[in-house]
Amino acid sequence: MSGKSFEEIALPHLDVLYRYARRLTPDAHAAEDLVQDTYLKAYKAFGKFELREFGVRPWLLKILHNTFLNGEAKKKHAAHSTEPQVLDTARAAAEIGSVEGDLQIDLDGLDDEVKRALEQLSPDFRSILLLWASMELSYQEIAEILSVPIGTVMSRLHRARQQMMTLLADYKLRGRGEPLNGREAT
Amino acid sequence: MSRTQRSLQLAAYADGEVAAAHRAAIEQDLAKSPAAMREVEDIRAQRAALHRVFIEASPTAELAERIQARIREDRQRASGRTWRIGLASAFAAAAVIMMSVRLIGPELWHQELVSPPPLAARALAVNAVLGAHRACSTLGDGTAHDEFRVGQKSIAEANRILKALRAMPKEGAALPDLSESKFALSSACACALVSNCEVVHATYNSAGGATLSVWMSDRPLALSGASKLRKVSGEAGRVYQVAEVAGGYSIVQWDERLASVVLCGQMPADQLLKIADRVQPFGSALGPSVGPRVALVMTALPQRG
Repeated sequence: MSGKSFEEIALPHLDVLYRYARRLTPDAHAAEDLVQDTYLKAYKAFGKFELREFGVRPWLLKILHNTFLNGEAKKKHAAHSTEPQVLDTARAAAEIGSVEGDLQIDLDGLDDEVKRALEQLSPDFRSILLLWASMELSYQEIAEILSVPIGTVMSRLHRARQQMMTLLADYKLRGRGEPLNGREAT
Repeated sequence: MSRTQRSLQLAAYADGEVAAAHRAAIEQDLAKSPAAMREVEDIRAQRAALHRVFIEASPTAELAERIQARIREDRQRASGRTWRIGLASAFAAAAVIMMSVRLIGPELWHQELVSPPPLAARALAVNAVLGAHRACSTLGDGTAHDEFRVGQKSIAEANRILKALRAMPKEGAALPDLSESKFALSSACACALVSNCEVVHATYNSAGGATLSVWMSDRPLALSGASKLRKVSGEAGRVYQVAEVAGGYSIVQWDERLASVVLCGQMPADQLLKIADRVQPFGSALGPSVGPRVALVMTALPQRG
């Protein structure tokens, strides 16, 4: 449409993609690999670029998201273990009780805790929170990226926010900076 | 309304996803309920905290180089394949062309050629205010790209072509019919502006020779660079940004369904506003009219800060 090359159109979004990948994956190397895979897939599929109505960034994010989930699925098949963060989060929620908007936490100066909490969330919740908070995407755009209906975006976001606040409250209860259940963030 | 539904509604409000028509009612509720207001503030604080964490990370300079190198490799491999396939195909194609010319001869050359672009946007002062126009060549030297002259085509046919080209920046959007305002469509162009914002812009002409340009983008655009910029409430809950620029041009912009619509014409702003009120880029309705809870989502007209 614009006569620009793939690199000219897609590479300006490298920072955003990397940041998203960095918060999804455990370390910088994994994030770089994920971003590189995303760009190669996008390059190969550029002729079929399907998200024109939303621009190239959501399309790239969608590819990144799917690549990440595929990688996670492979890991799951390999390990067959229950995700510890799911158990931890459920336990924390049970200890603190239902939050339904009652949890009051001042988030100023809690960036490290926010990072830890993000890492403890399930990939679904982590993705939706990142897409929502970090890129100013609309619900419709998030729905396109995650391939879910808008209603699911809203409810999943709601639950992810609640779970995040539960985790942060748990940190507070156990003392600032202490990771949940003694697990160290990577 | 259950507590969860209420929370979802407040979250949609905090995220700017509530239609203008519903916003006032929510704001009235918020004024009465400190708890609800606190919930909205918490959502915004959580978003801000996540954003801070997000922007901390930066890729290394080598990553971009590595990606470019891999793409180059891939391209070279593909072009090698293409060259071999192409050579074989060329012989076959040459044979077909020779046979076709013999059979149908000159009729092949009577196809209507695409006219050069009428420099729709260059004729107007839009580039002074949109602030993002690098890739649209009609704003620069006027070299042809995706612009096509609509000529005698009806609006419906032009929209059908744009849809077929997947050129409309938003699903369901269409170039407006301005015949009531005595303007006929003359050309359209689909291009990408900087930040890869997709845009369709079209030129309309009146019988008296006046030109009007309509822009539709895939995301809200902010007018900037105009000396006089003001907000005006329009019909159907729209909030117009109105600018008057040099040369007697006026510009009217508004956001609709996550898109921006911009009208630019050499006429007073009041006249352009009247035309803007008649423009329905997504058809006559603002959104599906369903139950109130669903309508909150489905008819959202985000007003992002």
